[in-house]
Amino acid sequence: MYPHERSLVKKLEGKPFAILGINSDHARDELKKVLEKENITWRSWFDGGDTSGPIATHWNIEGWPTLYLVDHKGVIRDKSVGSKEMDKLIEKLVQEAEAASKTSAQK
Amino acid sequence: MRRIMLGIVVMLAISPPLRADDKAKEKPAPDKPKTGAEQYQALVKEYDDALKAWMKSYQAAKTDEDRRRLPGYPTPQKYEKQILDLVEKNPHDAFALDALIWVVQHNPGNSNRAVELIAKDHVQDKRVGALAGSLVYSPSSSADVILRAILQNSTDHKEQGPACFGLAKRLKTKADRAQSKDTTEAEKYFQQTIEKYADVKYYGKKTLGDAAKGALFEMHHLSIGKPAPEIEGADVDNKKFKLSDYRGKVVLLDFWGNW
Repeated sequence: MYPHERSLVKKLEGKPFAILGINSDHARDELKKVLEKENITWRSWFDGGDTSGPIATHWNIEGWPTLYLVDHKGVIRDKSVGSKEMDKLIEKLVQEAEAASKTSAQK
Repeated sequence: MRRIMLGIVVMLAISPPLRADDKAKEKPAPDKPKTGAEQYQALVKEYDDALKAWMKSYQAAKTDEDRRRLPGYPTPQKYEKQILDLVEKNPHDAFALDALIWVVQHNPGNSNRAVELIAKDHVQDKRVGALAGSLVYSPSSSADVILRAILQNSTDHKEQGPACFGLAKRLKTKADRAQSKDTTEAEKYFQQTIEKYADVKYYGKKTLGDAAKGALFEMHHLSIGKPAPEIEGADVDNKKFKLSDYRGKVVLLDFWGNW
């Protein structure tokens, strides 16, 4: 999981793309250690210290990891319980986001 | 091997407990062949003993090296086939349903043969209520038949609730797999769970009511094509941020934990 995410972040550096985590670990200092050890550079919300935290509950998460892919307009475009490669769709959506920002820049 | 030998010695020393409805009078003499029920009890005992022995040696292991040298964890699969063979030889014996329930409870994701036999031969038996919470992820479509029967026949709120919720979840998964947008029946059972069984415990702090409400929220607001709900919270350094801060970017949301 982490190596693939690290490569995604590297590949899309400078592009309109971000990974955001919702983390269900027990404590902030535990999370801090994991972020350092696994070289996790993307941001995570700390979700209250267990799997029934407010964000995970609101999103009805019952399996970890669960992934949601959200486009530049904030629309859900893919979801998966369990890790799943979404690279192709991610690249397509990044292109959509770039095209959209160009059009708005021209206006 | 020693473990199994031990199991047999213990088995001979004390005759296995029988269910009240087994004919206790007809206890065979020690040299008579064992009944199906007795053979089933012996297999269950062998598994329980193997599990206890394994737990004991696991607790006794002090180092990682010790733990690596442990024999493999005793899996129920090893006993499952023998138990199912016994059931198929004695399909109408009182122990048959208990044995099938054992198989499903010990290996819920992969017990199609047992699930199908229960649906075929025992679906009206009240004992199937014990499976109300074990059939959500069964790959066999016969699980639906059993859950519907529990919902209809059981008089126990704590069995009806998980049966209703389990059925709803299965119907939702089925609709998703068929890429069908028609989730009317799944929604009906989620709604029924909220109306009638909201107080029944699910897991952790969650009740079936919470879980069914969550499932309906997901169906209505978290499907592909819907706007992602706002997320607000704080990061590892307690700095606040929101999902909408990232509007204009593609965002991969990753619900994760390091465990």
